[in-house]
Amino acid sequence: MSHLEPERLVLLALGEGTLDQHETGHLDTCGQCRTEMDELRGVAGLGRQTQRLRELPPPPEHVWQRIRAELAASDRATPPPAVTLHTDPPPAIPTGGQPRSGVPGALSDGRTEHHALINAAPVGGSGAPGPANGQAGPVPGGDEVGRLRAARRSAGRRAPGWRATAGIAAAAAIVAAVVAAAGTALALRDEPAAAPVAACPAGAPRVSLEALPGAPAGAGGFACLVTVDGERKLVVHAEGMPAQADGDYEAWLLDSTSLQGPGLRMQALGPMGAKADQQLNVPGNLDLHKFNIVDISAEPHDGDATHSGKSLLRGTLP
Amino acid sequence: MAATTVSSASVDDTTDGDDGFTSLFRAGDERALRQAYERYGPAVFHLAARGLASTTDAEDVTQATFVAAWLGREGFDPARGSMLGWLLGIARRKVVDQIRATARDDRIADSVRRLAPVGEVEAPPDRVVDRLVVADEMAQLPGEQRRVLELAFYDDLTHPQIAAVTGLPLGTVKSHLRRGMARLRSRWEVDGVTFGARAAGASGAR
Repeated sequence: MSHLEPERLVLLALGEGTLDQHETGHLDTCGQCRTEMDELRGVAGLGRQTQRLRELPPPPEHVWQRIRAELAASDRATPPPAVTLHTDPPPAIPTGGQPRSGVPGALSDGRTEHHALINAAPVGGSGAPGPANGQAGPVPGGDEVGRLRAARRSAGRRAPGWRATAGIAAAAAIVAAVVAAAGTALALRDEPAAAPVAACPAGAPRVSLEALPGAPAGAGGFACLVTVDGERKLVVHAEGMPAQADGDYEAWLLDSTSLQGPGLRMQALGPMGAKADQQLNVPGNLDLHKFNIVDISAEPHDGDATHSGKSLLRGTLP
Repeated sequence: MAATTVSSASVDDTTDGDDGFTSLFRAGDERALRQAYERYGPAVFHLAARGLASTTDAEDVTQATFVAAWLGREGFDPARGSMLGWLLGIARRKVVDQIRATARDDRIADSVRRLAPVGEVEAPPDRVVDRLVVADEMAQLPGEQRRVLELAFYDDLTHPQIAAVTGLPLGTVKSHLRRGMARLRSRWEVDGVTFGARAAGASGAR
């Protein structure tokens, strides 16, 4: 039996005319036409409700002011979101020797270079909910920003709170610098997403993992969520990550909502094996709306099971 | 709008003709944030206001949405949907979070007179998202096609009536309806929330 004509289905979905006996009979037996019909009816229903949506009023202007203030107020305004976690790769502090100790506006707890900033980092923006502290801490020494930036570029390090010391313009400049550094990764992003690669099945929403400053050159990858026998798994594909003699890599899911609070929440998914593709169990009760940042860290074999603070790759699940 | 022949436009007219803007956004150009706010702020604010009783909350959600979007902008993949759809997805989660928080506060404050049971309030934002993305797609349709759909949707005219009103041939009207509906449907499928759910559950409304 031939399917109902597309134009006929559209008219029916719009409420024109009624189904005759033949059409009713066909719809009863043809799932394809029925689905088509249901979807078109859905569209028609939504379409009818759009009339009042054509001229929506903008939000009050102070909302925009607050957005700017909030962004300006915090470290968090920088991409990748994880200013909080990154520290130097051990060997690289060739230039700009003085920077960190001299981050006056930032945090004054004198943390050391290779230390995780996990809990400390949000402090820089902890005033966050109150929008007012926007321009808090104008740069104490004007050249701090420049020095920080230089330090970042050379060592790949982020000082917590460094952004907080910067005004908006300076911040934009830094953002630009970061983007320049990450440019290649960004530019490459869409290509792999288009081609079917490795273990992520077609149709599984995929997030590309982008190298953070300090990651080995050429590091990158992607991840996707799959369900195997009813269990959620995170498939991680990482490349350009040389084997480490004294440590390994570990995958985490970070709670993006806690980036803004005091104390970052995260879930360890386990160490990455030697293969490029890993399938890691995601705890069934983990809220992936919150824990949606995939993070691959370098973990030294130091007996410390917590995050080293040395994040190499990041990506945010949809 | 003269009687332009727009029939071939439907394919080329992709949803996002704003590549430059999108890449500026992803690259962290703050002007792009302002642009995104101007373009999509009304829709985000509308979604928030529809989902939340208090205007203050709606403003907070709008703020939180754009802040989160900016901070997480590398997560925006234009290949997977429009920026509006992406923003509304963020906003929707923020609305739900806000509702939960409010419900929690209410429970604590007054466990008897709780306004909104958490489970039930999650549906409305979805529906609003769908309407907003369909409305956005409507706005991007070629003029004549849009006009024909508006007459069908808002004025409830049949296709012969539309032909009479517009002076277009019947065949053209039907083809506008079909193409326009097809575009709205694709957009709904990409950026909407309830697309699959609706198609599966054959129930008629809401």
